[in-house]
Amino acid sequence: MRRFSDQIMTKPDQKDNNHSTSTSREKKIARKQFSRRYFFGTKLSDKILLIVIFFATAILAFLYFFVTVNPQEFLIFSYISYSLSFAAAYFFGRHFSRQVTNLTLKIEEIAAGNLNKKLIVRGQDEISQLTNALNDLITRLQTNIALDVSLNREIDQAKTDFVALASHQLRTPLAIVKWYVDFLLNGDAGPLTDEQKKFLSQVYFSNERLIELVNALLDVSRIDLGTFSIEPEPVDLIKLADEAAGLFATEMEKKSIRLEKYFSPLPIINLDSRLMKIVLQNLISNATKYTGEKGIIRVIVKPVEDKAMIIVADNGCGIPKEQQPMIFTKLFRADNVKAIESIGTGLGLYIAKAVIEQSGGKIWFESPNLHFFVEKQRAGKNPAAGGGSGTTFYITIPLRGMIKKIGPKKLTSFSQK
Amino acid sequence: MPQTRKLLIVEDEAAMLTALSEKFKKENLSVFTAVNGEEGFNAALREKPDLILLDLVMPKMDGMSMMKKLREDKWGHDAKAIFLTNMNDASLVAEAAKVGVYDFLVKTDWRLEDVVRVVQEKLAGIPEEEE
Repeated sequence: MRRFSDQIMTKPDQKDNNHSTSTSREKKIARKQFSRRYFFGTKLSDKILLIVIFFATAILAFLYFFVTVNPQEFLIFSYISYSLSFAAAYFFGRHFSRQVTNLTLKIEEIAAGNLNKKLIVRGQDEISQLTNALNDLITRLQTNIALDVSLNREIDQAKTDFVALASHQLRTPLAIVKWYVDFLLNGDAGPLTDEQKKFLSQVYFSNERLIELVNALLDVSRIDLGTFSIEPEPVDLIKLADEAAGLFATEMEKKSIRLEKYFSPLPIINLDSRLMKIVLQNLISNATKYTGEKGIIRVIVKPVEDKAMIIVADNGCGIPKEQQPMIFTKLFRADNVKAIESIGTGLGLYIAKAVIEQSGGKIWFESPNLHFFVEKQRAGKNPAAGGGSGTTFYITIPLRGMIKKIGPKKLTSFSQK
Repeated sequence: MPQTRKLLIVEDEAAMLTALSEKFKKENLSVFTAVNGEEGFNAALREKPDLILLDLVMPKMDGMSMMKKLREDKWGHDAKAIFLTNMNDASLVAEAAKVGVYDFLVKTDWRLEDVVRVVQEKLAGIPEEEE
């Protein structure tokens, strides 16, 4: 035990010895290897066995001399045999424990992050085999980490490049298309037939989708790079939620979706209204898209303890159980929604989660939900008018407000809708 | 009879410049154009427009530098301007406010007629110069 602690105490010296490839150390290693090969087999188990045999022989000799030889000779011999066996046990024991200790210390050092270290292999015993295996492991770790680091750096650079590209090179042509279509639609370049107007509206609509996508991708980059800002200011959350729901009124009417709003009085909260709009519009837009004809969407805002809670519930298609863990993942869209609606970036919920969590709130969901249980019962034969088990998204934001975050960029998706 | 208001558009994208200038000509404005900050600066001093609509990212001289330079001029010190850009970085908005430009329109977010509306509103608020 004492020796072990000595080893630890001398750790720095050992490190130094390891680094300097002195000839004396090499000689020592060679001598040790030679002595091991000369005396015993190569396996540690052999060594232990030999030590035991050595002890056994000593005991036998002791018995032999105890019977036949005079006491003086016996004492001398037993003294010698005990000394030898003790020395042998001491030597091997120490050697073994030192090997294990050295290995442990080196592994600790590697675990602490010094992956450039290689373990020195001596001989072919089990410890050497273990050392070899560890060396392989280190090499593999080294290459993987090196790959990871350089890959991460490349990804970050690619993201930064993308932001620069997207903000100027992609948006400029998109703006040009937008304005020329406007120009034509307004009749500034001559009168249009109804059909021409219809086609141009399609161009306008598709272009708006592209703008939305570019804005969402930019937001994702800003989130990933951590460069977006959160600027809380006193905001009426209920008004914000009401306005966000109002933006989708036309779409809901088209599908005869019933919008139910339940707003409980809330104090004015410090929120970044731009970010809050992005989140609310994302959730309500999803609910509108994925709720069928004659479905119900419920938007609830209420205080719960020291938090403001926002609930967006629908009785739409719901989220498949097995895909629920993926729902906040970037670019992910559940299989059932892909079948319903081909338009969708898979970025909305990722952005919503990042925004809410980075501003100190929480976001989660429930699907199937219990919000429309009563309606389902009443509908009887035709359960869930919306067509599915439904989804409910919950958001809580502390009443004390969002956490301020300083950053050079603002998020842009949905912002001008 | 109010005299024709002068509008200077500084924009390096030819297509965008055409769309804007055509649109504003139809709005009965006297439109001048420039394709970079340097040209824009000279045109501004020459024509003394009622309002300058300018892009931020341009070759030779960008919009921000042009406004800074214009602010040093006796006439340019009070010139009215609107930034029309692709970027809406918080830092840029702050910098724009520093050079006295408070309208910062992100191109993809605005329909052409809305840009016209903003320009008209801005022009309505500017008293006509005594010649």
